Amino acid sequence: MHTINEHAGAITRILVLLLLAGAISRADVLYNVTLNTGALPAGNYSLFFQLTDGSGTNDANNTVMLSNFGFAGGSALAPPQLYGGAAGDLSSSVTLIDNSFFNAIVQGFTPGSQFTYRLDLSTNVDAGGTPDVFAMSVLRANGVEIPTLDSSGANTLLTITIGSPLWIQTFSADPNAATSTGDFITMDAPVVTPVGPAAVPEPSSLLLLGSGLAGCVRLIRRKLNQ
Amino acid sequence: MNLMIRKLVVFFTAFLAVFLGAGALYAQSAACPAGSQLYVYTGKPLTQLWYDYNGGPDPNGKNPFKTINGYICVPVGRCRQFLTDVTQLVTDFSFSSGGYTVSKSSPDLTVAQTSFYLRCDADGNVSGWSLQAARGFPGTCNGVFGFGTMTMGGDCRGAPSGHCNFPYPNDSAEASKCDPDGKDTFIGGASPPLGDPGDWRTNVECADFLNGFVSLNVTGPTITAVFTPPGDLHVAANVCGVDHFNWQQTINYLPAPNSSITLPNPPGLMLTAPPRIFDPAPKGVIDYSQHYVQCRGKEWAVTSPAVDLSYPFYYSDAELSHMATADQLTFQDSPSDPCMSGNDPSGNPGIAHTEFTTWLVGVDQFGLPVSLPVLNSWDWLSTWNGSSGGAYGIKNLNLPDPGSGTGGTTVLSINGVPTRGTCASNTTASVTVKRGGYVYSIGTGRFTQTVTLTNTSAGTLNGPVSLVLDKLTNGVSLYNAGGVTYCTEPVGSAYLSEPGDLKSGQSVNFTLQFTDPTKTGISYTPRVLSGLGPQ
Repeated sequence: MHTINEHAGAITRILVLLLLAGAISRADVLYNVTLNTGALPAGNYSLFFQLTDGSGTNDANNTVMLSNFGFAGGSALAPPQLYGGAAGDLSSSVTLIDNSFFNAIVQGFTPGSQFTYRLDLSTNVDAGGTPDVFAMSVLRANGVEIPTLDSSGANTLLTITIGSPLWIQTFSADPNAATSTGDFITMDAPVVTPVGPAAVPEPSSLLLLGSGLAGCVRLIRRKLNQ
Repeated sequence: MNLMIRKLVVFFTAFLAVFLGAGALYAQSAACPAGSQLYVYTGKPLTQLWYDYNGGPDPNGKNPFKTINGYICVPVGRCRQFLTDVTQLVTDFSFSSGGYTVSKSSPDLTVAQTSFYLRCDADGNVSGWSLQAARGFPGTCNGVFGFGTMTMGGDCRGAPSGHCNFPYPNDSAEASKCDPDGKDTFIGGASPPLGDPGDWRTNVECADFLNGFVSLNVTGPTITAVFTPPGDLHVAANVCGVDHFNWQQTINYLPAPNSSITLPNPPGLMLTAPPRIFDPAPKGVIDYSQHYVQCRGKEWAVTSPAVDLSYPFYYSDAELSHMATADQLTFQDSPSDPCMSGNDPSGNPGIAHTEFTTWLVGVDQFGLPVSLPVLNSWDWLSTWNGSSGGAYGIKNLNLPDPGSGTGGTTVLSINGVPTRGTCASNTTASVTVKRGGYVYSIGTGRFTQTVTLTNTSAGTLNGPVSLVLDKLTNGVSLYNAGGVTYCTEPVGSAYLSEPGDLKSGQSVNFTLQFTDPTKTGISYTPRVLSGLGPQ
């Protein structure tokens, strides 16, 4: 009985450590995003990136970092409009943290042949059943989204639902829907390419996992010595 | 024959003497003071009146029962004071009682007449009451016409008298308790017409004046309710311990766009609900001046009447004086808004409609609302998009302008009981609800969310399937709602519906569009309804 108790205690400790390690892990995902903007009619547009908090508690448990912006002949137009937990601009990098319900940046740009950027996204799932969402849209100069095939009606080109599993949706412009200025736009859906490992356990997690395993080994050795 | 006639004359003389000996009865028409004892009679106007505690008929015309208004209240210590200003007649009503009752529907249907008596003690206080029934036995009592009397109720009962006994208990022991010191005096008596004994009751309660005395009527865009309590409003208010009655009304659902602007002015905000608001609102409902609203494809000029400060009641004191008589209190509303759907209100009202709850309320002497022990409340909606009295207004005392619009009003429920048939079923436990995240559109100014329902039960859920959003964050509204619940609890929650059945294992997506002007967060509790019947 004593042995069984010892084993049970050890297993419990290991499980607790593993659970703790899992709970505090921060699995980031990295993507390169490419949007072909060459077919856009001449003029100024705006890029609209948003991160909404699904929990409604402003839990700040997810961060989106946008960097390495490339306009391929185009350029960003200053200044940006920032909402909630948004910082930065398209000339350098942008950070969105869900410490408000609505966190967004809107900044004008002149399109070149394509628009590219790197997306670094944490993937913590919100409590309460409603996930955080990252989305990207392109607006006409009058501030209205280019119509896309996004069935939700939000006219996004890219929507990433930060749930389990992560859900990435891309949409092309709707060639049959008139824009707010009366013309029709054809634009492919953005291409989202993974970069590097999908999830990187943090050192603290490894430390906890290692501690648990060490305890397990020690327990087995003690048993063998007896 | 002469002998027979003489016998009858003797009998009736003796019978009358019983009543004459009862003396006078004191009552008052004003509100009964606290501590007064209240007695109520319902039936035909009383015709046989007995007065003068020294015996004899009513020589001075002071018997209060001459023009009885259905209640007799005797202030403590004023048993011998004459009161003569009772004015209202009572015709036909009845109410429950914890006391003894004699009426046409009593066990003995041959009761021909009833009389009510009060007794005064030596100090001038009411020491007791009794209710006496008289019954004729034509050809059945010892072979001749007979007549008998019996004290049926009161704080003591007496022995029967007359030629034949009544089939009621004879409690001599009780009778002996009536007046142990022998100092009581019968001070009054009254009887309704012979053959129509009426309905006598004591221990009346406020509920007796509220239960079933509000009638509802819907005619096109106009809804009318009339509160006609037994006796009159004064009696009912007296019994219920309030100064008078009024109505209260809330607007439970009022989508944008609409023609109602909140104060102050300028600029004024468009009024919307939920959350439910009083009608009229604390600072009035409508802007002082003309304003404009765009809906149904055109711009409408809305010229409002003077600001309405009836809050927290539906009617101000001035309006109430026009809506109340001595006998009844009327409620009438013809809400009109050019932005409403104009749909047939008995079918699908569409999103553009207004929902209300109206109820009867007491008002105390300080002008504050007092809840009544019996609910007289109803939920209703209006789709009317015409004008009333040449104007648009949620609280509208004018009659509709014929031909100025379409739609109308309908009652959804009375005292919480739906009037439109069986409601849709709550099948929340049979589905899983998977919510997507919120995505904002700058172009529309709305957040969208996709919600997926999956039928996890073994059976099919009959369509339409509705996703109801309970406890939606204040200030947030479901832009593309198909309506709000009015048949299932909680009412007033926005919902979306998808036609068709949902088979076992099958899923259906709902795309929700929210307006959240502050962008500070959206939350709700999902509820799923399925099947035919209103949500």
